Amino acid sequence: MDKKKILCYSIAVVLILFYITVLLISMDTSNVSDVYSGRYLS
Amino acid sequence: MGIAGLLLSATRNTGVMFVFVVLVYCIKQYIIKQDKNKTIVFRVKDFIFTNLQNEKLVLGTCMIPLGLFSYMLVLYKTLGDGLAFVHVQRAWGRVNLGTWHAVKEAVVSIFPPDFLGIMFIGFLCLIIISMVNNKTYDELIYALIVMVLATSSNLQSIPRYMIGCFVVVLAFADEYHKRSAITKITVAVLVFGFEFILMREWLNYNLLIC
Repeated sequence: MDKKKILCYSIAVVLILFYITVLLISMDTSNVSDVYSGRYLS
Repeated sequence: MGIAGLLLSATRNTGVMFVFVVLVYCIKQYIIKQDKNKTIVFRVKDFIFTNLQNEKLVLGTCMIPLGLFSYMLVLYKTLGDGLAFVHVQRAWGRVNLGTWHAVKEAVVSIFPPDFLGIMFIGFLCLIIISMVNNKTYDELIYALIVMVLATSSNLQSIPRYMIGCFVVVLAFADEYHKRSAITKITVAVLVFGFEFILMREWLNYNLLIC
C-alpha cells in the first residue's frame, strides 16, 4: 500500500471516530431540559 | 466530492443525505459493469470490497458528514446539546407524525385539498417521471429523502425545500424541454399560477410557506 492510500484510510478512520464521539456526547441529554426551559421555550 | 459534501452538510442539515447519492451512484455504476452470472451474495461482497479499495471514494464519503458533526460539536460546546436543531422543533410546536400523516391530512381528510398537498403530489410525480425517463436515480434519491424529511411534521416547508433542493429544478427542466409547445404553454401558465399564490402568501406575511 502506498503512502497516499494509507493517509486516506487513516483520515477516514479518524473522521469516523470523531463522528462516533460527537454522537455519543450528543446523546447525553441530562442537561437538555434546563437549556430548553430557559432559552427556547420561555 | 468530499469537499462539496462537507459544504452541503455544513450549510444545511439535510445536506448530510448526500451520502445516499454517492451510495446510489456507486450501485448504479456497479450494476452497469457487473457480471450477471454471479450470485447475489457474491455481487454484494464484490460491491463492498471493490468500493472499499477506492481510497478516494472512502475518504470523500467519510468527509460528507463532517460539516454537520462539526456543527453538532459547536452546539454541544455552546448549548450543552449537540442535537439542539432537533430538540428546538418543540419551540415551533411541531410534532413529527410522518409524511404519510401530513399528506393524508392535507389531501384526503379535507375537501378541497390543501394547496401544499397538491404541490407535494405534483413534485412527487415530477421526481418519479424524471427518474423513470432519465434514469437519474442518484440525483433524485436526494430530492426524495429531502421531501420525506421536510414533510415529517407538516407540508409548509415543501415549496422552499423543493426549489432550494436544486435537483427538482433540474428534473423539471429535463422534462419541460421535451414537451410540445401546447404542453409548455400550459405548464408555464400553471407555474405562473403557483408563483402568484406564493406571492400572495408572501404579501400576507405567511413567510413559512415562501
